[in-house]
Amino acid sequence: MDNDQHSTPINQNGLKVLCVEDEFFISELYDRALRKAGYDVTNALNGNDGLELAKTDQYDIILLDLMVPGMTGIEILKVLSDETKTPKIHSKIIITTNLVQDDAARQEIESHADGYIIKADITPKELVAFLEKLR
Amino acid sequence: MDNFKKFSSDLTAYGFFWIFISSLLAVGAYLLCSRVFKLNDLFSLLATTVIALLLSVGVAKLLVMAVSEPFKAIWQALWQLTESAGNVPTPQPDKLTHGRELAMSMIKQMYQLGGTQAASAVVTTAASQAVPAPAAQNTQLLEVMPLPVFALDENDMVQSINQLAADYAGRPREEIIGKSINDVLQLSFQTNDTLETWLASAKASSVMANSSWDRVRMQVADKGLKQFDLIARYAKGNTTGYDTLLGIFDHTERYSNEDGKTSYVALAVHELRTPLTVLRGYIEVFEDELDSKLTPELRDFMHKMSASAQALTAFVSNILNVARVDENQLTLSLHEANWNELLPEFAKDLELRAKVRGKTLELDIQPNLPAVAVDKVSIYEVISNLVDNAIKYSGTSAKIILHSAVGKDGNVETVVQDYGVGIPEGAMRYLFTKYYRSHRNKGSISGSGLGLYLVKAIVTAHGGNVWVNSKEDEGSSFGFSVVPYTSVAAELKDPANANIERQAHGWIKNHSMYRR
Repeated sequence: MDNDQHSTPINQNGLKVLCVEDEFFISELYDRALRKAGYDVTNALNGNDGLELAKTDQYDIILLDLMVPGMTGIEILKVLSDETKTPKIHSKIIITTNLVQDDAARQEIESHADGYIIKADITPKELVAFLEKLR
Repeated sequence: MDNFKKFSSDLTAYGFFWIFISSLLAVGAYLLCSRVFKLNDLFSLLATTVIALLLSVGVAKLLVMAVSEPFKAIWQALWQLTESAGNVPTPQPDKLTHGRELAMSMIKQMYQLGGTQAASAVVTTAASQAVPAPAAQNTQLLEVMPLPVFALDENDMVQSINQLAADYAGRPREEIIGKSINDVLQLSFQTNDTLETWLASAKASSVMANSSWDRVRMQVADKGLKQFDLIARYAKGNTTGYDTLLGIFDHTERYSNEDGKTSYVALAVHELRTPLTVLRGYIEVFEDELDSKLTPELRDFMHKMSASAQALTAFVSNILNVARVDENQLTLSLHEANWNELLPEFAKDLELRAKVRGKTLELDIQPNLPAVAVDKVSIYEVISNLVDNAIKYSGTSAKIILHSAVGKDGNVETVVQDYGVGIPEGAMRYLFTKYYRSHRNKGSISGSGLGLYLVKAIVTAHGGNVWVNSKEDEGSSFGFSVVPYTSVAAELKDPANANIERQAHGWIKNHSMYRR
């Protein structure tokens, strides 16, 4: 039944989301909530896959965890925002993390991204609501 | 070594020149006596001897001066490095005609060996020197100091800096000189006693003043956060042309190592947040998709699960924020907000936690409150803590009311009122102290004693106040105020500062633009 729900979303909204997240439980929850809201979701469980997929620039939104194995989210963000390394992509990048950072580091990261979310502070449904506001 | 060779050859040429000249003068004097005045040989010799004696004394004096002046400067520098500098004037190696390079390099070396402690003495004595000298010549003196130094005029405009200061501020000299020190350095202090306030009071009330500050912070572009001790010396109408000298002792590494104590809290918080995210996520799925299928009892259990996960999330945030407050790392970013919309939004979020404990959350908000200046995340934590307390301490009474209205001073006041156990009078004054828990409740009601401490820190950083009214067995009301946005909007002189940053627990920005 779960699979049926995945393959036939109720109202496809035509937006593609890449979710770079190594914690499978969180990835599963986000995937489910986003699909229910009509998003087309691709999951990447490590940084290297995440970057390769992000570079294809087929996603409207990228959810990027900062602490993923392989390449970290911060490194991915740097590569993506450096136009000498990657052609500019149109995707909106939302940082999703539970990391505790000092304000300077956070501001630095926020300056390269379109949003910054503490995962523990929001539920999957609230994440969807956040993405709706972003549009 | 090159400086030494230069000094030797300089001296040789100088000595050669004067000895040669004096010899010529002696021969000339003899010829003058014997040929022009036609004196006999004995008289001529006698006169020549007298002239040669006078010349020798003059030349010897000149040579001794050439050799001893650099020594004198070095000797003065050495004294400056000792505690008992007394009346020894500051060396002025830039004024030397001979051995200037040698003396300057040796003095620089000495100051470096002497360390920064001694250099502070040099900074202060340099400022107090009554040696009349144009400001430009002192630039070289600043240059030999082994620490970043800023020299200001009577209007706090930067007159001169050394290379170290330009490097430290991460900007070229031209961008610093001629500007107000408060614009050049974005300093944050631990207390209200900032450089700006000190300078203002020193100028108003004293001719000479010294001050120092520990743990001053400054954000430098591309270099991140710098932490240092700052010393200042003010001397009114100083003949050096500099009214104020500032010296910086960098301790970025040491202070940030000390700040690293928070890192284990950060690690724990990260590890706690991940399972919490997962729990809250799965519970939400259950709430959404099982709600209609559950018996009332099971639905109640589910809500309790959800409320407990929420409460744990709030507690984890509290731990982190208390650590941040203690380490002066909690930064607020104030924005304009509609309190009439925000407060019900917060209440809705807290409703479930009240509900599962059998409490109801009522709102009593004055319509059309003025827009307030708040950091949304932090002010939510204030209300969340106050409501959580009201839930815990309201005993058998069910009602909790959130009042909000404009206070006498024009600030927006919000009060969380419960009708529960109240607070014994003896406990009142300790309420906002970290870890404090009233003895009476310690055994019966769980708590960390962190909530109100955090509430006070956050509200104070917002520029507001906290207060409490309570009567035993009748209930308590905890109130706080936040300032209307219009009162801080004026601080936004510069559109680049689209939001106002505040730091909890007293990091005060130096510049008045950030203060009220």
